[in-house]
Amino acid sequence: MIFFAGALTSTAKQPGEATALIHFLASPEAAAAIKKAGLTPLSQR
Amino acid sequence: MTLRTPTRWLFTVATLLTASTVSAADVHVMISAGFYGVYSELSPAFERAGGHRLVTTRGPSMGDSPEAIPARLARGETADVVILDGGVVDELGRKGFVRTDTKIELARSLIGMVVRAGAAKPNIGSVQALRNTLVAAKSIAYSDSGSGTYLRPRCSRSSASQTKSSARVERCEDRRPASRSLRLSRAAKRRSASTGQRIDTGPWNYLRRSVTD
Repeated sequence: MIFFAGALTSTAKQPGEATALIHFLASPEAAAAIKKAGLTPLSQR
Repeated sequence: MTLRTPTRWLFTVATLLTASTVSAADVHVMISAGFYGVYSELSPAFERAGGHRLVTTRGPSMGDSPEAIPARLARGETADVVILDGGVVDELGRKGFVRTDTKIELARSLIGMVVRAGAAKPNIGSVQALRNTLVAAKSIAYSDSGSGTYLRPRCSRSSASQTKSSARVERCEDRRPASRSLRLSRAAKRRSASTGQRIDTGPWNYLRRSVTD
């Protein structure tokens, strides 16, 4: 079993936008696309 | 003081331009294959909503290839965000490349195995059965990223010797993710020539795609 994760790099020049992207991909909004890809979403529904 | 109308109008335009310049940022993303399908499907919505542009670099989570994300970061390639195997995020954090306090898990992936249509279904009901199946296989295709890293020690010489077998598996030079082939030693080939079968392993979402396509 593998977990995919997102994180900021130490040198991130756009930390705000990068954080927004990670939160978006972890949000319930992303769950349908994650399931469609054959993965299991971890967001709370 | 009240500004005359044309001056006020120009001031408003200048403010809007500044605001749009600030919000329309390029966000550099390094991402491995497993989550890429999801990312590519959702990224247009993210770009539309925030006015940002995602600049994407792809590469395996691990492995020896120069395209691998740890190798890219070690070479000094830069990104704002990495999306890859969670264990590698921790490792990259220890090396100082990634801020682990910002790590968020996005999805869980299972590892799967497929054989050619019509071939007998391999027994992978236990770790030992999986090991026996791998050792007996004529050839195995596996990724040098997360799923292959899980499988590799389970079919190496040391684990094979636990099954009273001399089967040895080596990687071939094939850089495509999820399709690296394993080469069995000559002795193992002779032994498995009659009974062995071709097995493909990899992240479940990959295999499912290759089966349904």
